Amino acid sequence: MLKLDKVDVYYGAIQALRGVSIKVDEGKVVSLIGANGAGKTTTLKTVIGLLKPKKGKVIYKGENIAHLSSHKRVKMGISIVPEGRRIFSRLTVLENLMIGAYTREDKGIKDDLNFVMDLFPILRERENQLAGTLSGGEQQMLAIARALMGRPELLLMDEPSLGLAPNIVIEVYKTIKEINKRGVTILLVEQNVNMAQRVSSYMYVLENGIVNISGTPQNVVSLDEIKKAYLGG
Amino acid sequence: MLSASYFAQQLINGIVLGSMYSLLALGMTVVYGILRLINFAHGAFVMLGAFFIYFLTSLWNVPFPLALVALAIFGGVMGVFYDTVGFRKLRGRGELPLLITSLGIYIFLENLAKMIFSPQSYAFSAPDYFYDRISLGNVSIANIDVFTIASSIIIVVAFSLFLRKTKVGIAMRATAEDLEAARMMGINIDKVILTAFIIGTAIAALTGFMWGAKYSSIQYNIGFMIGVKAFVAVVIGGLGSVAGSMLGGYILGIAEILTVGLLPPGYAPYRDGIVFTLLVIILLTRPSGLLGQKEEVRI
Ligand SMILES: Nc1ncnc2c1ncn2[C@@H]1O[C@H](COP(=O)(O)OP(=O)(O)O)[C@@H](O)[C@H]1O
Ligand SMILES: [Mg+2]
Repeated sequence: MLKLDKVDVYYGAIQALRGVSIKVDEGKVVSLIGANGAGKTTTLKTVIGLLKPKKGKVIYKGENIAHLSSHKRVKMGISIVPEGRRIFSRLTVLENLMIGAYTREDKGIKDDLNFVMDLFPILRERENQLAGTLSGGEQQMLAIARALMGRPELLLMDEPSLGLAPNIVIEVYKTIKEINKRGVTILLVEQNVNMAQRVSSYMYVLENGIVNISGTPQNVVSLDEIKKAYLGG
Repeated sequence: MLSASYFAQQLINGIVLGSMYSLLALGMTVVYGILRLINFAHGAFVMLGAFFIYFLTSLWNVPFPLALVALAIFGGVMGVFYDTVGFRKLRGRGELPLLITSLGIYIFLENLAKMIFSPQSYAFSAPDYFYDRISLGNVSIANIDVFTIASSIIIVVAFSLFLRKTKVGIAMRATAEDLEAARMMGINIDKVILTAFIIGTAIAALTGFMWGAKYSSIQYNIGFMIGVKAFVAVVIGGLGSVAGSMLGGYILGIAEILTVGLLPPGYAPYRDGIVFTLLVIILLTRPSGLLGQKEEVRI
């Protein structure tokens, strides 16, 4: 479904990704883990089209989309749950959800609205409230629901557990599984390796813009260096 | 003597001027909200709009309502050029290049106007019925004033509805809050920005007609002070706030006219100075303007 092929990305003169190659097969959850500043967010921004690679290909459904604008990519079925949620706090919950469906022209938007509100009943209760008044956990639900309103085939998630209470994190991960069961392919970025390994079928480890380690979750988390860096021993 | 009717008359003049400032502040604040651009060239579109309708009606005898429609379209087209030529290539380059570009475009347009129209001033007149007066007891109000006040209310209300109720309007608010997140959601921000410029510039051109009709004369350089005052209205109301720009426009217009109308005649030349003093006082007491939100740190 998605393949990055030797991607180099720069911020001005600073290189953030160095020859990153990853593959996400249809129907799977693949995770990309790494420390702060490793280049995880940069990778997702390159997939959604906020950053353009200087070298390399971004292949989505067999087509190199590396130079397409974001709105075209979203229309092609890629949605994102951004790092830090980035909900529109001065818009209502409902308006946020409609923004998620911005590129769509089909008739299914109402049904999807009902679907995400069934998935997160709190959003139905708060539908006309400003999104900025929601709690952190509720905002994360909204960010996920907003992404689902794009009816994605590929969902990018940037640290969905960041800053949330442990019970909410578990809730979020249940939702991730549920979304994946419905056929949505997911590229998950996490520092919370413990949670990520439970839902992923494959993992990539990013360090200073380079992917050195990859494999099944069992293989990756059994490596000493991963245990030390991410699992507290 | 300062009679009540004199005061009422001045108040009407203040509200009319305030209506025009409000309309311009609206266009400025919307563009500022999205691009963080202080749009110095805004006043130039008022001037160009005024000349455009002057030539249509006075020289070529185009019927007035048609000329007004043409003026709005002309304004919209100027907005398209302004955005594509001036700013399309500057996306993501920070705020300073935008500011300098708009200043440069202002200077260019003013000089172009000076070259084409010469530095002389032109006698501007709207169709006669605009100068008929409706009397309300001791005061009377000209149709042009009614027209200006009503247009400004209608345009501001319509624009607020557009922001609340339409897909593009909601996207515009989302873009103003977080441009990068808006892009991630698939909003074509170039389209949103273009729409903001078209609306703002079309309103500026229409205001050009109101300005000319009210003050009966237009000149190549009227845009500068108009633009600066509109910006002052934006700042008083609170940068990025639509309701604030409206409020700021009225406060400024009324304060300016009452300064001229109520102080002894010798003070009239100080009207601009008094306007800026007002700005300083308001900013000292409310740094984000009357209805503005504190600028969030963008990360
Ligand atoms: N806008 C930016 N300008 C310059 N450098 C940046 C920018 N965003 C990120 N970087 C740098 O790129 C590297 C990767 O950042 P990022 O992708 O955000 O990491 P992660 O998401 O893994 O924490 C870091 O060294 C960071 O400092
Ligand atoms: Mg990150």
